[in-house]
Order: sequence, then structure tokens, then C-alpha cells
Amino acid sequence: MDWQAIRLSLWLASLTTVALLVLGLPLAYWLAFSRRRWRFLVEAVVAMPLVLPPTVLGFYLLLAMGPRSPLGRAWESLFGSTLPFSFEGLLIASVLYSLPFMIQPLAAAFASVDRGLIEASWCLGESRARTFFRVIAPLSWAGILTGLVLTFAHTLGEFGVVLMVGGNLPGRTRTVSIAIYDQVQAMDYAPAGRTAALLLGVSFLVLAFTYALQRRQRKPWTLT
Amino acid sequence: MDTHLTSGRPFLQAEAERRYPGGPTVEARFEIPEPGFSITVLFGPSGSGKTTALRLLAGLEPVDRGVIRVDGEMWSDAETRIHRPPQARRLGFLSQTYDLFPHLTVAANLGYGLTVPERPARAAELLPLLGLEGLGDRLPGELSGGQQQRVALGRALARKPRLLLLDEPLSALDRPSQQRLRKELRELLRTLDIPTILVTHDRTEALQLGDRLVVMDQGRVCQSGSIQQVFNRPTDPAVARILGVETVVLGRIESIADGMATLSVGTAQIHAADPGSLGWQVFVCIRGEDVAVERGCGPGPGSTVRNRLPSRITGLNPEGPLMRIGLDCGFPLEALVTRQACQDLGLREGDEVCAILKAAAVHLIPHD
Repeated sequence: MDWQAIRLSLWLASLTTVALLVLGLPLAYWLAFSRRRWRFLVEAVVAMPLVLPPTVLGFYLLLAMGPRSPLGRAWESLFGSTLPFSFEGLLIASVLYSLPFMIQPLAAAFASVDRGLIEASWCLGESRARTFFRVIAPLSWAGILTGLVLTFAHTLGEFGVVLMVGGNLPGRTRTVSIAIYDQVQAMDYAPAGRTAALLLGVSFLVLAFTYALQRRQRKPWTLT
Repeated sequence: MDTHLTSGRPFLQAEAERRYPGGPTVEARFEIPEPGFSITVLFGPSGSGKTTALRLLAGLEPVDRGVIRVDGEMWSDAETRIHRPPQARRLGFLSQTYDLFPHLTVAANLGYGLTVPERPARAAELLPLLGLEGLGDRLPGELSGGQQQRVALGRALARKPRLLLLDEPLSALDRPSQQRLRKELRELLRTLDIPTILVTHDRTEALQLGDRLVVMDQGRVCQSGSIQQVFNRPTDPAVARILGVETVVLGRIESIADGMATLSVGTAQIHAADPGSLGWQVFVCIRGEDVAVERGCGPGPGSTVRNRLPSRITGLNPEGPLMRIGLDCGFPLEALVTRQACQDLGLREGDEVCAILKAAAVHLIPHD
């Protein structure tokens, strides 16, 4: 088994999940509560990775990160390295590619919190930010957990975008899904089978754990 | 605290409108003259805009026109685009659904709006006051409806608000609990000395709890004033229709015997069915259609009617096929009869007549 690829995938998935949580909380809050007319445009952009072929997303990301794009140039002048075929580039691509898997459960959970509870908190003197952390987030824990797990599992399993943006550099951008692909291409079925079984097992366990937790800890107020 | 007195400004002054594009306009237009305990009731049928008016005061809806001024502070001013957010109004707001935080215990709900060090002491103070001893560690889902109502009220009171807003606070409860809690609520608010605005569509609740009445219909404030003023001098038939009862006067129960209460109302005495436990001070409510008028006022042999009151006609107002007769029988009383009957008896203003009223048609509402 390619332990280096497995470690890289787990590290990438963890960083992507953390980055998306930080990015996702305010964005999902905005999507859940904004009354702007153009909110639907943002919703559409967030959902795009669900329907776009990974190659299309990867292609545009590659262009955007390239040495001739503003992003590519800014990155190079700041860090002295290029984004394509680097772990950092892979992380940016993963964050974008998993965006809907974090945002949609979060926004749905926030929007389902009773408006009256939020207003009650405001009338008791709590700011919008403190109301979020004291009322909205605790009542949305199931949605937040779902977002974390889906993002982690989805990043662990991504292939197309990784191949387009990251390539196949062992220890830097070679993730577990690409390792499996390589092994199959090289007719190395035995190690490919072991790695695939591991990925299958991990994905199943993580999802089963999440749903079991949601069911067990379901509190009366989530049973509407 | 006394600035409003010296400047002659009322404690609360609302002249505000909320306009829904393509929909109705709702106004909040009334005053509370003084700080300290008083209950102003926003009364009207459902859909009349009472809740929206309350939300304008809470700052939960923007004011599209006009101003809301409280205790010398500008809370909302559409012209200068002042909108003090609900967080900065220091008010207590109790919605119809209570909106208790389901993930927090009773004690945590009570202390929600306080700083962390203030919380335990205030919870310990409020729990017995609200009759919730020993329930501090429960979750709201484990409480009865009446207990939830008291937690929600306690939470709104915990921060010692300057103004308390109650939206149908008892409507989610069963009738016996409503009866009991109404009395408790008024006493509690009087003790705490907080000006309160209460929304209700229940006439009994309005009469039992209110000091001042603001009648709303279709988003408009039709009339406001003391309870007796509004009930006895509705400015137009719409208000009278909403109030649904023509005569409301304060009376005192003098004695109770054999299930019958004898009351003194103004200079008259009337009989009514004893409704059980009541204070001595009551609102006496009589519908116009329950009052009949006769020429002579002798004892009616063979009649079940207990109240035969010598009266003088003070006014005759035709209303379609009906005639509203204003009577003075020691207190102002209104009768609603057909115009034909009125003509047959040849009734005129100033005539001495007899007002006839079944004891069962006299509705008593305690008001201590």
C-alpha cells in the first residue's frame, strides 16, 4: 500500500475541511439569512462543483493559477513558488471543489433555526454574532457535522481535479485515488485492491458513524 | 427618570407606520403617558396588525414612516433613518410561541440576557417568584405549557426591561390556566412596576388585564383611551363591532347568595349569576341585544327576569333596522332593539322607561 499517498490524502482532507469550515460559516450564514435579490447567483456558483465535470473545474483552476494570471503572479511574488502541481494549489482546488458539500448542509441547518429564537436573543441584548454562537450554531450541530464529514470524505475521494491541478508527484500531490489509478494502469491489482478497500472502509465507517451520532443524539427539538 | 415629566413628553410615543409593498400598511399610533406600571392593551381581530405594531416597537420591523420615542430616546425615526436595534432598546419581548431556547436549561434561559456573574443570583431570585422552584435544571421541552409561559416571561423580565411587550401571552394555554395566570400576571407586573404593552384578541383578557385600550382594525388604530372610555364611547360602529359588547362598567359585588351575586353599579343594583371566585371589583359587561325596554317598571309577575331598572332615555340612534337606545339607569346602559318596537312604544329622549335584563346576560370580569 502507498502509505505516503494515504497520509497525503488524509492531510489534504483535514486541511480542506478546516479551511472550508472557517470559510463556510460566514458564507452559509449569509446564504441562509440574506434578503439580497442576487443571492440566487451566489447559490448557483456555490453549487457549480456538483454538476461541473472535474476536468472543467480543474482546467479553469489551472489557468487561474498559471504564471500569466494575476493570482499566479501574486502567489509567486509572495511565496516564490508556483501554484500548479503543488500541495498548496491542490488545497485551493479541493476547497473550491468541496464547497457545496460544506455550504449546503450548513445553510440548510441555519435556515431551519426558528426565526423567533433568533429574535428572542436579539431582544435579550445579544448581538448578531453572539446570537450565532449561542443559538444558531448549537441548534445546527447536526448540519455542521454533516458538512464536516461530507467535505472530508469527498476530498478524500476526489480524482479529476487533483489530476488536473496537482498532477502525480509522490509526496506532494499524489493522493490515494491517483495512487490506485497508477497501480491499476501498471496492472498492479493487488496493492490497488488493498488501497481501494481501505478507502471504501474508511468512507463507510465515517458516514455510518455520523448518521449513528445524529440519530442517537437527536434531541426533542430536532424532531419537528 | 423624570425628564419626560418636566418636558411634558409622554413616556412612550409611537407615530409609526410599516408599509408592505403591494400589501397592507400597519400603524403603531398611541402613547403611554407615564413610566411605571400600566398595561396598554392592543386589541383587535386577528390580522388587524397588532403583532406588527408590537414588532415595530421592539425594533424587529423597520419603521417606514414616523417616529417611536421612549423615555426621552429616539428609537425609530424614518426621516433621519434612525433605527435603534432591538439589542439597544432594553425591552422585554414575549412572543406568542414563547421561543425558549430548546438547548438551554430553564436557569440558562432565564439568565440568557445577563452577564455570566449575574446569572445564578438572578435565576435563584426569579425561580420562586415564578413558581418554578426546583425546575432550574430542566429543559424547556420537559415543562408544561404554563411553566414554559412563566419561564419565557421570567426571561423577558430578568434584564429589568424599561418596557415589556407581550404578544398574546396566554393564548397557547387552556382556559382554566388562562384564568389563573391572568390574575397572577397583573399582580406580578404591578409589583415589578414595568410599563407593559399587551396584544390580545380576547375581550375578557383585555378587560381583566388592561388599563388602557388601543383598538386596531385592518392595520389602523381606530381608537385609544381608558377601557371604560373606549367601551362606552366607541368612536364609530366599526369599533363597537370589534368590541362586541355595548356596556362595560365597573361594579362592586355587594353580596353573594344562592349562586346569585348582587352588585352595585353606579347608583343602581343589579343581579348576576355568581361566576365563582371573583374579586370584589368587576367589569360588568352587557350586550345591547340582551337589554329590553318597557314602559312601566312594576314588579314583573310571572317573569324570570331579575333586573328591572328604572331608566331615562338619553339618546336614540338608528342603525339600519335597529335602534340603539342610550339609557341612564344609575349607570350608562345601551339597549339594541328594532326600530319598529321603538316606534310602537313611541319612545323619545327623556322618557322614563324600564330596562329589563336577565341576570344570565350579565357577564362579570374581575378587575382588581
